[in-house]
Amino acid sequence: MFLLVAHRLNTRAGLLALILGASVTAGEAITFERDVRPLVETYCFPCHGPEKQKGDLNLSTFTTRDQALKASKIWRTARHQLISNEMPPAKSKQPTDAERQLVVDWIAGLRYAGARDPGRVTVRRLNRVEYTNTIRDLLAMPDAKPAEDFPSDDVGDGFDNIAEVLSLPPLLFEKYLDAASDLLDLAIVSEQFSLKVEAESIAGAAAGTVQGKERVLTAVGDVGIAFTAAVDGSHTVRVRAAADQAGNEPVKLTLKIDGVPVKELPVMAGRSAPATYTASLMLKKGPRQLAVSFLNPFTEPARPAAGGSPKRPGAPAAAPAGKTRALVIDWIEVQGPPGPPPPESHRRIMIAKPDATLDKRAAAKQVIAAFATRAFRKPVSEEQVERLAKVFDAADAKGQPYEEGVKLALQAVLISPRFLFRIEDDRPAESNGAHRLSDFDLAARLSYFLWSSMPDEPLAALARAGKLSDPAVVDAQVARMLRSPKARALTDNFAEQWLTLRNLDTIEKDKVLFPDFDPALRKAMGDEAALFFEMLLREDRSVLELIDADYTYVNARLAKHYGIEGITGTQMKKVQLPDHNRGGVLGMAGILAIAANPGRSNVPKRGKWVLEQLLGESPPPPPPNVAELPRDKTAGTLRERLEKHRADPGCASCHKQMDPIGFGLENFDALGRWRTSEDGRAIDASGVLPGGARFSGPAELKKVLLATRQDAFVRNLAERLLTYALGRGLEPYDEPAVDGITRALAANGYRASVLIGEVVRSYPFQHRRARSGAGANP
Amino acid sequence: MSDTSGHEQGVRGAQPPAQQRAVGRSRNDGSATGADGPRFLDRRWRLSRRTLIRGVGAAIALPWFEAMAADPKAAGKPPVRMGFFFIPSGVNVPDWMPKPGAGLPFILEPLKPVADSVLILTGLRQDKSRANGDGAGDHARETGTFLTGVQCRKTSGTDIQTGISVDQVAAGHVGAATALPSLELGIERGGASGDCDSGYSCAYTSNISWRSPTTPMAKETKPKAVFDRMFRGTAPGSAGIDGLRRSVLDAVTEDAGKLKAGLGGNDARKLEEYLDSVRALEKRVAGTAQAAASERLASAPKLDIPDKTVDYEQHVKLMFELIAIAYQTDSTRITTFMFGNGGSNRAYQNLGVMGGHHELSHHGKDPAKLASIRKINRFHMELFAGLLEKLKAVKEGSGTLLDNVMLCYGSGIGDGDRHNHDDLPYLLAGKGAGSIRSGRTLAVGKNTPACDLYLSMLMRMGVNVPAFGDSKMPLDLL
Repeated sequence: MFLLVAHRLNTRAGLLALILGASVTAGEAITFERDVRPLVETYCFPCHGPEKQKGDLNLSTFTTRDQALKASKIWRTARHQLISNEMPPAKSKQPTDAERQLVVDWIAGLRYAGARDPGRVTVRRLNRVEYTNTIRDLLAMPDAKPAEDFPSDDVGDGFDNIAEVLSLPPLLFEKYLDAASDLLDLAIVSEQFSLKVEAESIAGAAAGTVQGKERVLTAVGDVGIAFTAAVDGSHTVRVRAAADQAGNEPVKLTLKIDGVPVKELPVMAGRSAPATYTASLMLKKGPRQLAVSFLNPFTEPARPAAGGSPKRPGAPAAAPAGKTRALVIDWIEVQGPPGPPPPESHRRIMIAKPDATLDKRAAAKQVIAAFATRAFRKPVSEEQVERLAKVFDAADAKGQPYEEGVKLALQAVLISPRFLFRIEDDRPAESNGAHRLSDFDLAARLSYFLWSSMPDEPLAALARAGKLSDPAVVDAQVARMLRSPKARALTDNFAEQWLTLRNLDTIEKDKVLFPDFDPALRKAMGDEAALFFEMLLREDRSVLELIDADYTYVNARLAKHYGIEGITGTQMKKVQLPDHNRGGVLGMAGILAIAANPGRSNVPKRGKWVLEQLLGESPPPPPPNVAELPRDKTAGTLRERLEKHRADPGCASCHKQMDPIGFGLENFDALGRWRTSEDGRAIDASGVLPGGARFSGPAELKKVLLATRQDAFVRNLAERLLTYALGRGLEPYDEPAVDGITRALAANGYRASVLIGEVVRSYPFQHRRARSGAGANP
Repeated sequence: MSDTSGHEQGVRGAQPPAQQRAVGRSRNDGSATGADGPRFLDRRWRLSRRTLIRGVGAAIALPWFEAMAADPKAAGKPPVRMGFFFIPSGVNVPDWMPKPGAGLPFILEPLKPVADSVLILTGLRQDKSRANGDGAGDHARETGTFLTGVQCRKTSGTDIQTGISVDQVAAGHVGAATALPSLELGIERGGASGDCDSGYSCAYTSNISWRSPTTPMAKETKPKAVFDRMFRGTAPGSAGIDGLRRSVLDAVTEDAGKLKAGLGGNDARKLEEYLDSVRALEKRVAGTAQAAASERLASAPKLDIPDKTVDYEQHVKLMFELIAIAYQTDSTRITTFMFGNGGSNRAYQNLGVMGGHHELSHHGKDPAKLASIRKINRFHMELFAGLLEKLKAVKEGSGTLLDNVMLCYGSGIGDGDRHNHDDLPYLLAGKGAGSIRSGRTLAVGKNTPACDLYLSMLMRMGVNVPAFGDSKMPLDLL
């Protein structure tokens, strides 16, 4: 659309040039150095040159076309201001119409003319949202919230997924490691631990002598086994034992953990009928030593037991003379506490288990390879798997159970740069020093763009099959992915950042003036904007409805806020609006509240918000030391005070753009409630845009914006979405891609699906500058 | 590597600074060879078992003090700690600047009980916070330059760059002696959307601590997470797992090294940043510091930390409790704290103030706004004074913990309306183990770089660097 308009203007310009007999005739190329810069110097430098830099703008820094191209946004804004006669300001020296038109034409032709260049995205760390979503999909743990305590991701170019600014400070790495460990502990459960050892097979320093299938102790000593408790908790210890009794107390079996006696059991069973003695012991997770000890050996003297000593009840009858106490151990068994049933995550990850035909290392490698392939979003090499298997080996060597060893290796996967970063493969350059993305990398770009998460199995399967170079296949995937509930990520991450909705969580309102601003209202405000955007995508509506629509979404709380009757419940519902004041983002309470002060509406702030977020133009902040608006309300209405403020030439240029838009929204108070008066004075919501378009009130403002600034809005939206999709700021060489997206939108009724489809189809989304390609990063 | 060499060396512990060696030697002659310096310190702390401390406010024996008492031969001194406290958007200048002969000005009044431990500094400047040709964005610069003394590159996207901050220079040199080389704290998370100030990345407004010119040290804003971070690794039975963690780290280090070799330019830089963070953690896992965690925890006061803090005042107070505990248990000797992010527009309704902080700071000499600003300034100072009193109540050696800290409190902007970066509000609390003569106002020459102050603080930490940021020469604080 932008180009269409430009062409129309160019034609008109050509006519004008002929009529006015300008020095440059149609067809002859305008050059910056010869034709444009002298005009800029004459008419613009007085305010935007070496001496003065109003609005922070110094046009004298541009000496070549290429430099101008790098800041094409500034020049596009200048073009708009030239067309609408905003610039040069009326009181300044005015160019002739022909001169004006010449610069306008030149800017329209200020198009990237270099070689096709897709740019090169730096390796890109997963941000908090992407990490969370990826973990949920990878581990099949839909409720995991691993990133809640992660530090905020830095924001660049308006988004928190920009490769260059996503840093990895030590604090974050610590959190990645802790998260990996905690998550895998939840995702993978150890099987119930059980270890049974025949006493005669215990090698080494076990006490006693082996007699047949048993071990017999007649002197003080331990029979010990070592194992690793996988969890804290109650472990069952069973000992099959018997005894030869002697003296006046029974044979005592003592259980020791790590050398400390914890339980004593009298052994009454005789050798002919051994019994199983059981104890429950609380054990700590980790390597443990369990010993079965015999502590009371005794050999009777060779004479009958002395009479008179009272026999304790239950004590064995006096042993025959010369007998020796003996503890006979058959086997020892330790059983851990029963584990919970394996969750879905366990079944998904633990695809192999050691058994008679598969040794534990081979099983572990199968698990590791499958997991790493999904986590790294591309095939893994044998070398990588082997390196990870060594981590399993280290755990195995320390006697850790199979699951613990696997967990540890998977921990290494979850803190690997191949997981935490999206690292795209270098491939041989095609003709212009660039190459198509590999199917795996394209799949990842798609899924992180639309879902803020890793590719799912259908997408990954297409990548494996090499099908993603087929545009029709990609289109079908985009359509499928947009239908998925995961596509809500575009709203949560793209729209919420673009429309600055995340600020809604932190803005504060004066509690005295706005006691209404409770968490329920705050939430409903955010939900309205989010749902509006989500449904726009889902129903494939025109993106122009973001500016103007006759419907919105409210629940009872927000409906009351808006004065809409008949809505009940906390659920958001679509409502048809009686007029066009409310519909679209400019009538949404959340956005109106964000672009306001804690205590009052803020006309310039709202104007600035519209210029910046919707039209992609950034008015500079006020210079330091500006006089504040007089607070005293006797100094006139807000409008009168602002107009006085605007009389200051230092403020005028920016406020002339911001204020009218802000005034058009004055019917909304600092919380976005409709009002017709403030402090007893009627609200005057009229204004004149710099181009001369007049309006009164929000509905007319929106109409005027669409009539005069639609191209800027659409272009800005395309630029923002492409920035978000690529994870990098746009460069002059991206301009053809943005042109292509806006053209396609105009030709297809501005449908949301076209916007998204065109971003995916765009050259920079599908390609990458080869490492040794022209202009590669140093 | 010129600028970072000191940092790297310190991290690897090749040669601990003189002060540490001296402390080590005093405890055990000859054993404190270079590599053993930090390790030795930790063993020394182990003498300090089971000092259960009820509250930071109570008078209590400190671990090191017990160690000293147990060994009267020890002539060692408690370590010097350093802290930085950032307030956004400057102050109401007339109510901050002390006037000769008059008592403490309004904003500084809360310092009265600890005034003899406070040095008020006037005349300091942050030259690199000025535009210097970069146009608007004073709030990004007041923050990004505050501890670096380096002009931030104006960018909202790629290539953020400032300098290594003073706390990180110190951490590079002496950080290895403690479980955490440094601790970065704040109240407000990073910016949620958009560039944060006139084309400056939010990285500048939400961080004062920078590990490298391109890597901000993300700050922790959740008290509970701070506590966990200080005392993690104390779970019984985790020792065996820690040994295995090494093998996990080894595997990723090896792989990342290979990966990096195949990348160039910015990609390689990202991988290097990753490896740097892995190495930092490896040191913690390998170091003896980890082993001392349970003892540090045992000596830490009981602190009830709610899962969520709702109230700003409560939030700050908890963070200050944690800073006190960090110093007290020698979990770290270096802290930074941000009362708010650069240009914060927090509404201080608890003070009966209408409007946001940043908005009010553009007071245009409006008396009502000026009154609000000074209320906010004083409120921050009350909280800070509370921390100082807490530190003063903790006995350490022959004095108090307050005697052994150097807490620098200040803003990178003077007057929020003028956006000036000279005559900044700065003060230094604590006596730096007798190396600072406080209880007075020190008027340094006009336009003295704030980095001169930082340089003199670094020296007191035993960090000998010839210069820092735009420093000219260390300040004489005695």
